[in-house]
Amino acid sequence: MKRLSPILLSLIAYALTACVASTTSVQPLTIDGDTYLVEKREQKIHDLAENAHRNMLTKGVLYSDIAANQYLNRVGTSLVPNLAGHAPEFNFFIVKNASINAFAMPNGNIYLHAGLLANLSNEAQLAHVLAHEIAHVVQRHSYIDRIDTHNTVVAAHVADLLLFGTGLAYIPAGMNLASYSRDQEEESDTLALKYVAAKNYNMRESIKLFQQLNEVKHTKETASVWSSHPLSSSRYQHSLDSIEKSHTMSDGGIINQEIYEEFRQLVARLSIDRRISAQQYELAEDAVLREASVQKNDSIWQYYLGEIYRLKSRYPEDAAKEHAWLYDKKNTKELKQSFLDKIDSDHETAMTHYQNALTITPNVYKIHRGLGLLHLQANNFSSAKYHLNQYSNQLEKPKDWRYISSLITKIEKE
Amino acid sequence: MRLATIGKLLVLISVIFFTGCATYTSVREHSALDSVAKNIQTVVIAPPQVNIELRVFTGENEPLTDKENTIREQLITVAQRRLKSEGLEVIDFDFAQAIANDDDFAFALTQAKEALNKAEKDLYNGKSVALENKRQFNVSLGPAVNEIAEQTGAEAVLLIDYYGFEKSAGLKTKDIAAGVLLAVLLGGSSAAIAPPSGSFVDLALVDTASGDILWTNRRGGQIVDTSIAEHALNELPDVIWEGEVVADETAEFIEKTDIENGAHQEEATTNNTEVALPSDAS
Repeated sequence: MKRLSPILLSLIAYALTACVASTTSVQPLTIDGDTYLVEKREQKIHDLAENAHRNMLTKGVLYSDIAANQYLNRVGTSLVPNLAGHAPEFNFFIVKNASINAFAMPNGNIYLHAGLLANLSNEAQLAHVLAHEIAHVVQRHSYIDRIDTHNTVVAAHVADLLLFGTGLAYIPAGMNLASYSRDQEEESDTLALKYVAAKNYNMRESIKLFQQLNEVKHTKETASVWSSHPLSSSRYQHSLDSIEKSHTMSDGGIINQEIYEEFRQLVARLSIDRRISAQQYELAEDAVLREASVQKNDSIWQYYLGEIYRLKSRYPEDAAKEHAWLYDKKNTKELKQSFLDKIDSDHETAMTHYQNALTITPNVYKIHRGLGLLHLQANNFSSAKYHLNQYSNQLEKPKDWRYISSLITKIEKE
Repeated sequence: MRLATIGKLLVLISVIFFTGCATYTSVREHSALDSVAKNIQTVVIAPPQVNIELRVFTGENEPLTDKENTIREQLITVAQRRLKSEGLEVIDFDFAQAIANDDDFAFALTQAKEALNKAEKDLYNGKSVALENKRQFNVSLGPAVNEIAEQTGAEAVLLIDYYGFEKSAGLKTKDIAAGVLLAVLLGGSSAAIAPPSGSFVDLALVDTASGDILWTNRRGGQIVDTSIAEHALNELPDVIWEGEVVADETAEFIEKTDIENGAHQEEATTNNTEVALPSDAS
């Protein structure tokens, strides 16, 4: 009789251990039972969430605009269903991050990235995203995840022992973990529809939300459920099915569009700044063009385009890297070369956009900053010095005056 | 033909010889460090980013908060001592208060760290750097650190990123068991066991005006303490910072004055050899 291979043995052990450690039944917060935070493990993840929030505050990654936060909290709080017994208080925050993402913490804190908010068209869509995240907290998904993680990791350790510490056992463990979250996402989608319908939001916007996010170039961006194409497609279908099954199609019209648009434009700029700073030039350009179509003749969009093309000509390899990432290509020498070949044309494009911005509003100092840096890239020292001086000589010292002064000093040494 | 072969062999031997002799370093220095250093007198230590976790059997890894706080404080002490010994003036700045009062400043600090992480990908791109080539880098964080200068008044900032882990008793036992099993299977006499703890530190001294990375170093170890940071900081070069320039100039001036005064004194002494000193007057 042939001996069973150690790998087969360990996989059997893994499967057996995984079966023994079955998922515990956890009641949602809407059902009275007062079990929230009773178990030590749930208390632990609550503490971790509190710690993560403190970290975010220390890092200054939460957007502190009072009006924007008040608006978000008003919409979010209105969607929270009636909770039974001891339950967390819900709070909503904007994260200074351009990716299409949102996440809920078990302590009731819900975080929306500026990039996601900038891509939503109206309050109904915002409500759907918020409702989805609220559902994660209400259903105590983090806690369930924690239990599942615990079981899966313990099983993987047992299997790894039989694999003599090779680490192979952790591969199926990872796959197992990923499959749980998909079920939870669909459950949250179903509940989100209930929550938005209860507040008379237009449910067609929930459907449009998935279509809209599918049109944005963000397929590779983080592991966000709001930015994954295949998942969005299946979730789109799932949401449609849920609406059909529930026989409800709240058609409450578009609520508070002006207030929402004001809020959205504010975070959209924040998102563009973050894209540029993260060297995501193509994504930043898309965002700028989208905003420019809403707010025409604003020199800020020309300025942003100038910045994007200046940086593309300055860092062509990073632009190539972004392109490869966006379109799932290999970042080959040829791809890099194609971006290197565009340095001159990108430089010209940047110049044109800066000049356009100056034509619209001649007194915007940061346009001079961009022009100064652009001239410096081309070793046009006198023009660079002129524009950088124009920028530095504004009444209120710019925040980066030290850096600009150091550049002027270097130019003078040339 | 024979000469050509011998020549090739000699080249090969010399390549092997020199490669064997080359000492590599994790230190990266700005190419103009000597001249830039002369304009830097003050430095501030940004709050070290410290993450230490307890890896547990269940996968529910826990942050070791108390240990993080202790290591953070120790890192500051170690860095202060080293920077002062280099002749730099370390500015004592209450970052916690400033961060609590101003989230823009908090974010500026985060962005500075992000910029450094990105820059370090270029600085440590997998290619080894020989000791003699360590001072050839020109990497700038741009204006990312200007806000630190604005708030603290420091001309340079030391950024520290520390990561450490410890394994729980259960995980250590599992590692030992796996190592022993493997040794038995392979018929070996000794077992290779994964380390029960580990640490890694990244340090960078950055000019807060130009954003130039003046010096950076990284170290890893198997113990969670600040010794890796001490070792890394010991490789801070002995350049002349502004304070030392001033000190040197002062010393030079004093020396010069002493010589001149000495000459005058001598003259005076010579001229007054017959004049009684006051002490003598009594």
